[in-house]
Amino acid sequence: MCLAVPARLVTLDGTEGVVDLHGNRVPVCALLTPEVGVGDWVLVHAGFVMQRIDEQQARATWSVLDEVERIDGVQRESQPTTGIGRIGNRDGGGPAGEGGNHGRPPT
Amino acid sequence: MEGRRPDTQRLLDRLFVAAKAIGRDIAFMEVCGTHTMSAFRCGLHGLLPPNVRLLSGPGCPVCVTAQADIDLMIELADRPRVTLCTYGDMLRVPGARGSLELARSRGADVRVVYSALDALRLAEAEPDREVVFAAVGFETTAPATAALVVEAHRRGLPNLTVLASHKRILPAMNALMQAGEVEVDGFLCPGHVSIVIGAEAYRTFTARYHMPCVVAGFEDWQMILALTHLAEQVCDGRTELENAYPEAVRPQGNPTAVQLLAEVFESADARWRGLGEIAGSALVVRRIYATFDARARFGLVAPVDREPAGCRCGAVISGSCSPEECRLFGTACTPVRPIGPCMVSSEGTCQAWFKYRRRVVTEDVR
Repeated sequence: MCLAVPARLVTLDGTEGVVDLHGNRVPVCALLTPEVGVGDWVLVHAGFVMQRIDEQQARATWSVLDEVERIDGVQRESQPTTGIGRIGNRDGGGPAGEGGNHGRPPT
Repeated sequence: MEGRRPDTQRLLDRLFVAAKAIGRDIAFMEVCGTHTMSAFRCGLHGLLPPNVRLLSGPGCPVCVTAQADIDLMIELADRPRVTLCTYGDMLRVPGARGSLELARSRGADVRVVYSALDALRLAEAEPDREVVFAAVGFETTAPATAALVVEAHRRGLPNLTVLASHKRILPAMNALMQAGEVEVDGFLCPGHVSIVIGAEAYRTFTARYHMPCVVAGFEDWQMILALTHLAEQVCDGRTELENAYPEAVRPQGNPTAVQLLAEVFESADARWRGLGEIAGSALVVRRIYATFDARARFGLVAPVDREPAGCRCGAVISGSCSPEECRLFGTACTPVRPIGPCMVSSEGTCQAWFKYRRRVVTEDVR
């Protein structure tokens, strides 16, 4: 549940903002991070910006998440009888479901 | 587009050197559901030296939520005019009388939200409904609930309350050490909880129990890096606090979030599934915000806490039993029909074992 994912802040009006989260535009609240500005890379958790991070770190994290996603996809295809699927994700995910359409489970 | 990523093999080599020099079986514990999932997904357990074990502690907030708290959520959801909002993970957790998902199927208005602020928008859009946000989670998630309360207060929303079951991780780590049932050589501290509370939060714990603590990120190499630091501490006979995730975690954490938590919540004793009552481990809404506390608004009294017969989630959560030592695991209790919360949650140790370890066993047999 305590997963935060990297994103780039693209608009900010007061504490209301929008991040580019790996191609998705997601509304966020920047109440907890008064220091962030448009263009910053940030960690987002449950719709809240939690921390500013550097761009290299953000890109490294997404490259790993993509890799995990690819491996999970291969495993799902090769294990069709487990019947487990992504149970937790069918309702749109938990607070870290920012990547819901990215196929990762809510955490 | 590639960012920095150290040579994982070199990190593993360092870990193997340290483990060999230690020359005995050692165990490290992570206390974060996201660490649990990351470790299983990247096959970390299979990469470790044979004398190094990684245990999963009470780090999944869904798993440690007492059944009585789940029952309260269901009871509230069943009331007329109540709209209960919660995070998706909570829907299928079984209480004494079914789950929130079951309540929804019989007509209760249960909605899954992505952010705490979705509940705020819902309360404004539907003023005839009593919107209750049922919140679980550790210090990473709790500031969002605190922000919701403050915003509801600012806007004077009369139909929004929170049913908070937030927990603090450090009291649980203390309780594990005081119980003395779990033998661990160090803790992998949760990265994103630490973004809020800060790396320095573990300083007293490290000193009190002479316990190596390393704050860790969630990528494979970040966890291996933290485990390497832990093993090298054990090897050198050091018991220190280290921050192996400095790119996100600051020594003092996020002061704005900490301040917001302190404004809205105060510490109280709470029951944890499997660990019992832990002093000061809950974050409950302060009296000044009682208007927005569902417990006060609806006069809720926690029912008697009963855990499912035969379920060993409690022992699994405290690291004293593996999922496969529970006789329900994989037979009566599966992700499709979970009995205990560790099988419900996508971050639960039992579900992770079912999805990843069980497959390995099957392949070995084949």
